[in-house]
Amino acid sequence: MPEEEKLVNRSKEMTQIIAGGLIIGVIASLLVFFGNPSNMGFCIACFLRDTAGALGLHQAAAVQYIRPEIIGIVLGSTLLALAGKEFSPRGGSSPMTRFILGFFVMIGCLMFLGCPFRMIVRLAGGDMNALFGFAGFFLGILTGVFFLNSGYSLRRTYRLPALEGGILPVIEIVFLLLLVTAPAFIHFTEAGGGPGAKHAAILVSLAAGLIVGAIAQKTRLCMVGGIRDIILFREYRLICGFAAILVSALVCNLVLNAAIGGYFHLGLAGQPVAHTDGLWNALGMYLAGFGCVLLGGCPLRQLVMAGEGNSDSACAVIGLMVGAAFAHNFGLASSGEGPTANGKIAVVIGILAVAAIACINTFRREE
Amino acid sequence: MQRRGQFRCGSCSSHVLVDLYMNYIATFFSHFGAMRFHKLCGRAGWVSKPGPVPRDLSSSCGTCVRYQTGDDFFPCGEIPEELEQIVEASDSGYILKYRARGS
Repeated sequence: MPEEEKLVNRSKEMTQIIAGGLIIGVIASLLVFFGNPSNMGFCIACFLRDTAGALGLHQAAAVQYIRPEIIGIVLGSTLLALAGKEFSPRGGSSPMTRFILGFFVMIGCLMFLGCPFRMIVRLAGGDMNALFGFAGFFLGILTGVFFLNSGYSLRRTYRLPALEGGILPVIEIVFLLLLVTAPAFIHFTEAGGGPGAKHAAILVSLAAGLIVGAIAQKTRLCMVGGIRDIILFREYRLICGFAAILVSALVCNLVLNAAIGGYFHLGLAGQPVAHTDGLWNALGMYLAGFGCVLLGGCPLRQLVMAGEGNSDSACAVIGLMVGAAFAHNFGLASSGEGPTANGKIAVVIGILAVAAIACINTFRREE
Repeated sequence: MQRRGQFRCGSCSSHVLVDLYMNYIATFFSHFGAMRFHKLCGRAGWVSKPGPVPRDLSSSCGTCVRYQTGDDFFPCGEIPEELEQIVEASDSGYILKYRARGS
């Protein structure tokens, strides 16, 4: 391929990523306007946790709702992958290890109260606690990259029958039907009962998810991948997408704050669905960053890859949901009042477990 | 005009100035597989450079190795276990040269 053409492709890719990030940032901000909790226009961890609650996997009444954004992300990715002939059912790369990694990534996220995506959304809302989370997240990625360079591998994937890759998208369609029909066995947070009760209209949330899923599939947006590529290759394309999300969500929040109020509050204390314990914010995101590097992407990326037919990523998504259920059933998740003692123990265990997985899958290969 | 670029040799760590024209792109099941392949290229005396997989080649976000050589595109004659595929980057697009079984 001629050098000029390569440069044109590179420039086109960069433009797409930045444009995609700008759109996603606006959507994340507007979802709060349409009813989502403050500084939570998008949060993959929180939304998977809410969905797990709605299915009765945990009993925290304040956070139970089948979030259409998750359904939209998976289906948006599936539809665009099918349209672009990129739907590729594959798997077999240590699925149980990925399940465990997904589990502990969620434990880390619920210590911080948000996934890497919400970390950016929180920063855009003026929540400076997210800076502690970012510091931990960066260190976690550095740790993961050390293992990548030392030989870490979860072994190869294999082509699978189409049915295998289509299971998670079908499950998401079932979730959508359950949301719309609202049978008695599905739990929904009562009005005024907590973050689970705050949500945009189903169609708005679903459309937002579809757009974000399609953009993320097209651009490969990944918070972990962005930082990882800078460390490994001095490559800034992916991180530009998340910088664009931060900028557009920040601008949108400032505009909404000036017009209505309540969308931007700079500081540490009094932030929505957040606590001020810097050490545990950092350690939670350290665990999330470390685990995500070993998984090959952030929770958003896992949803998108699952939508493309990757059953290993689907295992990671199920691990995230089970992790959320455990976090609320055993008092591991933080609240606005701060982290719990059980949560601190779980994060330490999580870091040790993820480090053990990293060591086993790194040094085994060097034998 | 042909662009020129600086590369770090995988075997001797010295920097060499070469015409920046990549003939082949190899993708892998793991990052470390890519780094090992990069070293193999250096051992074979080929110019190579690891980086993110181009989006127009794959929706995967792994590591690839771009390298330039003749018709024999396996460095040192080896087909590493972690190698997923090799494509030739030609004027008309990517031409598949090798794909691991079952991938």
